Amino acid sequence: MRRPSPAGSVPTTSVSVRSRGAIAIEAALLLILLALLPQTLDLGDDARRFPLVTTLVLLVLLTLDLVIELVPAARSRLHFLESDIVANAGASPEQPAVDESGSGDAGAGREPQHREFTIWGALAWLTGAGLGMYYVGYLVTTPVFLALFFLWARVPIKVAVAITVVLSLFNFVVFYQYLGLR
Amino acid sequence: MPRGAPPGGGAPGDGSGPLEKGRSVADAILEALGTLTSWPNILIPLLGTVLGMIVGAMPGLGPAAGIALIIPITYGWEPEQALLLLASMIGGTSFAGSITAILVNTPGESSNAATLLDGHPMAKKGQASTALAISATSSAMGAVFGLAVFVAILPFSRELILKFSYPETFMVAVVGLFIIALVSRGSLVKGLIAGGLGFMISFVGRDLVTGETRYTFDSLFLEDGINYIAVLIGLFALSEGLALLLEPDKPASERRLGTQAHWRQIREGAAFCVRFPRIVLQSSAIGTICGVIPGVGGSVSSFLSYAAAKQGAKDPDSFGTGDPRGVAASEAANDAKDGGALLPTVAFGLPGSATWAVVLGAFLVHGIAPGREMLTEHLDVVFLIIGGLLISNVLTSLIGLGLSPVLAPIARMPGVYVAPVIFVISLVGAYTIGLRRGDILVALIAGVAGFVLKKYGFGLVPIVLGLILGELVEESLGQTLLTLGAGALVTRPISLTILLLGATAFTLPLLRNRIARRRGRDQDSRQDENDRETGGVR
Repeated sequence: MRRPSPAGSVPTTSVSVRSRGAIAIEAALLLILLALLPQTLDLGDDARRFPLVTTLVLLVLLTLDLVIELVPAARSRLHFLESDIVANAGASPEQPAVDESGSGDAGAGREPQHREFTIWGALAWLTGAGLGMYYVGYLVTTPVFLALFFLWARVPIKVAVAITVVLSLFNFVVFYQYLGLR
Repeated sequence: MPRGAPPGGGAPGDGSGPLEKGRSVADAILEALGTLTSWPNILIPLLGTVLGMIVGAMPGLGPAAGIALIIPITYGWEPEQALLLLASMIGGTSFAGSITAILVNTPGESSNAATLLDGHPMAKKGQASTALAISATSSAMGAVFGLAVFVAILPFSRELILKFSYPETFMVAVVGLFIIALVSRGSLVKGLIAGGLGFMISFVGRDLVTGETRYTFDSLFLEDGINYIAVLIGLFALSEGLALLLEPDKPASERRLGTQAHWRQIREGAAFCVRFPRIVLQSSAIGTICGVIPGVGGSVSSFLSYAAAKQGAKDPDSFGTGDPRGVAASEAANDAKDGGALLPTVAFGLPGSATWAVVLGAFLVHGIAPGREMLTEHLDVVFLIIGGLLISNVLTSLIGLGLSPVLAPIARMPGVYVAPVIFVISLVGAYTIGLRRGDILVALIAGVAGFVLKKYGFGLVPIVLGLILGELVEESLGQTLLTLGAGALVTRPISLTILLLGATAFTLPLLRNRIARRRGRDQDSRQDENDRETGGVR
């Protein structure tokens, strides 16, 4: 049985979806490492010592995990690699304390005003903010991004204005004026 | 302002320097106290603490950068005032970084990354005030411990520090690698893969020993390497922002906690550290030792303490799900390391961390040379720095406790309010690291990658550990091989001891689990035999 990372707060997904995602990630990493291998071998002896060892170890680990994911018989034989090193022997793995309180009761007592986000929507907003900061700079991007985001998400106007003004002013006064970050 | 204890009477190296004379130390302490309590110096620790807390709570703007920005302001100040301000800032940053780690899964400093492992789950369970109180109390206790050790070993600091060199740094880093396995919740293989990925990212850029460029694809930006703070901001802060946008809001009734409930949580959190002193003392000791070893830094010490606390617990499974011991362990170590790091800085001019390297620069700007001169003529300044650190650590904890009821509700606010703020602060924070726009892209890519990796069962902490330790392992091994030879790794007693301790810490839980499993199997087989004897009737 696999558990999500402790710092995680990502909504849980079914095991099969998680396995497919993990397999795709591991296959992609395997390809990237194989593509980097010639570069690693071209390095001088001292410079390639650690990268080469790490690449080879990673290739072995990725292959091993792919086998665990794809071959059920291997999964049952190698189950000890799927658990914590430091764990209560015999204790059943607990579910993480992620969002338990909020799940199943999402509708009760919550503010319904704002728009729901999809994964792609959330990624698009983050990418927009990042690219805006990169190309235009933080001083312009901060108010523009926040205003557009809150308008799109239909956040109550008072909250939207308060956050946008406070954060934009903070960036202007502290970073731009006082610290002189251009 | 009058300054300078009488120069020590003894000749260099004859063992009769001022540190060996109790009266000189007492004079220096009294002089430092006089300076500290005089007007307007008495206000400086408060100013430094507030500045430090602001710097500490901002992801990206680390204490080193924050202090570097303040140094020019102190040019016209008396040296004592300037160093008091900087020391107070250091004390302020350590705890403040844990506030954002606990509330929004975004460590203010890299050394607060271990705090979020349990601090943020606690906040999600509605125990943000408890977590903040534990962090504040253990930070103050750790700082006092570290500074007490510093004062205790100051007289023989030179002999002690000379015993630590590259092999010891390498061994601490190797022990740190064991932590990757210890903190990998869920699949061990995926944890190791994540650690390896962190290692690979640390290799990008110019090799510090040979000067050869690796995986740079002819990019000038990549030649400087990938800044791990930008990766950290992306992995934790931005991926958390994405996750917040996708979670359903908590019911409004759950988001509100009465003032009395907050103060009850704060009392519980503060009492926790007193009720479980072993965790705080053990972590403070680890933090102090890591602080003494140059280059090891706060991140490694926090994770080492976290792993030690988890490994020593009877119920290690609860770590990572909101266990208060995890918060206490990482924060006590994080603040205790400052006392340890002060030792090589003042005794040898060998900074224990990047922050102390900047403070060392401030020493020189103000005409105070570290080393023998600092321990003789300017011993009062050393005690003034200790005073600044001590006061600011206590002040920052008190301020943190006072602000907890105001700050804690942030953890339970709707994601749609918090996420864009996290995006903006994190991306600006990534830019402030080195004023390189490329760091914004690094944070962005790390954020998306972190979100995807976390979603599919890969740990993010091992990536950060691999990233931090990769450089440390490679650099310290290279320096060891160049200066002392490979034999030094196993012939120097401290180096060997660190390795053996690390190996023991790693193998003990494995053995414990194996024995427990065997006992379980024996019990099962006995049960089967009984079943056969009784004809399978239970």
